[in-house]
Amino acid sequence: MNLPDPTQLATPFFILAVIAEMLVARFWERAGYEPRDTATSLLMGFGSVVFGVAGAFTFLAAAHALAPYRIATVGWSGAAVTICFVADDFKYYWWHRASHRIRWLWADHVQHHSSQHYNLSTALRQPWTSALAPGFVISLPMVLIGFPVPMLAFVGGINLVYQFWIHTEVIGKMPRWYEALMNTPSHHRVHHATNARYLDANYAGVFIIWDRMFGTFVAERPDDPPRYGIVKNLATFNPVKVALHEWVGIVTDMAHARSVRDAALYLLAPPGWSPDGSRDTSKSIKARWAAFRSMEPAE
Amino acid sequence: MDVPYLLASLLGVGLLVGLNVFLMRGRRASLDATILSQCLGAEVPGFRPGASQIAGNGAALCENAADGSIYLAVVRGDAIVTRKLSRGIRLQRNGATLTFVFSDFTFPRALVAFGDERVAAEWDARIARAIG
Repeated sequence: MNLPDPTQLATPFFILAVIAEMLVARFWERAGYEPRDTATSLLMGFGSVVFGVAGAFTFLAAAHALAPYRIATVGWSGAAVTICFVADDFKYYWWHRASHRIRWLWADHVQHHSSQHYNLSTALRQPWTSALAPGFVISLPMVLIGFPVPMLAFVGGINLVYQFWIHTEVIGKMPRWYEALMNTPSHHRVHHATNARYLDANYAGVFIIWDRMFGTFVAERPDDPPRYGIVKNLATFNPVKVALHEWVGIVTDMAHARSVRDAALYLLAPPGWSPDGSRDTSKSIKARWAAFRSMEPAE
Repeated sequence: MDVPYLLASLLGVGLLVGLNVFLMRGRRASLDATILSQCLGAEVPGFRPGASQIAGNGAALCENAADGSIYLAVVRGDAIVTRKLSRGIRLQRNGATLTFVFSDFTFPRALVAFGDERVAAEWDARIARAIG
């Protein structure tokens, strides 16, 4: 079955929405746009399309190799596409969560989080190095179940398109029922925030219910407005440096590791892990924040 | 992947960035003692502002009175980026200017220009104490 590429179809909407948000930023100041930051985000998006081809080929090759072993053949129907979409989003939740907890995967995903702004151009700031952090592996069980590869590509595209509009400060809260079920700008602002209380939260792609089910949901609070970026923000707009900085960090750390175990943990432990605990992980930042908070007088 | 699509995308990137420049021209973060301590207060749990030095070139130093650590802040577009000074940085004093070189390639060499040489020397010594 020939399906359109949702991302390609949505591109004109992406452009118009970015222009509209820029105008809102200019005249109402409900969003922030910095030209060099925007350029970096858009070039990262462009590069991810170019470099993403390698990952797509790898996935196709793996899916082709596994096809003879699939346990069923799922045909095309509305129900099948719906189930595939929900299952794909569930898979996205776990992959995304792992991408924040394993430095190897974080080295790729951090590129998306590297802007100190939160606007629609940030949504397009996509990694260049996804072929090195093989996310396709987590899609292979769905191939084995029998979902056709074009169906997986289609629902993955819709998931990506959905996540575009939630990268904005212009929209406050959606209706309560929607906030309960779906990922929204408010929930995703929390995900991009570096405030200690918001670290490692709201990994959802489309349905926020996964975070609610697995204990990673944190609501946005008006008394703690999100600050965006990463724990050690980058003082560069160079997209090559943005794309490679964490990979360089991993290679440097592994090269200087004192044991094979340390080298492995530099790659596989959470970002910020170090043998002597001298660096900050999200866990240590949260612990320190909680300790200081407990010493503050109650409001 | 077709080439015209990629070229059109690049043109689109250029136009959007051009529009952004046109709409937001002249917007740049400013750095003063209040903004600096607000920024570090938000980023560093338990931060208490101590001595600070704001240079005219968009860089600043600030001490955390809670533990004696020192932070460098630089303006990057309309945002501020900070780093805690620790072992591994290369610090050079040249008259009334301190130059910081990080092993981190995402943080370019930073200069903090002081009004007079004596203050620069004081900060140089303070930083040496803080990072051991």
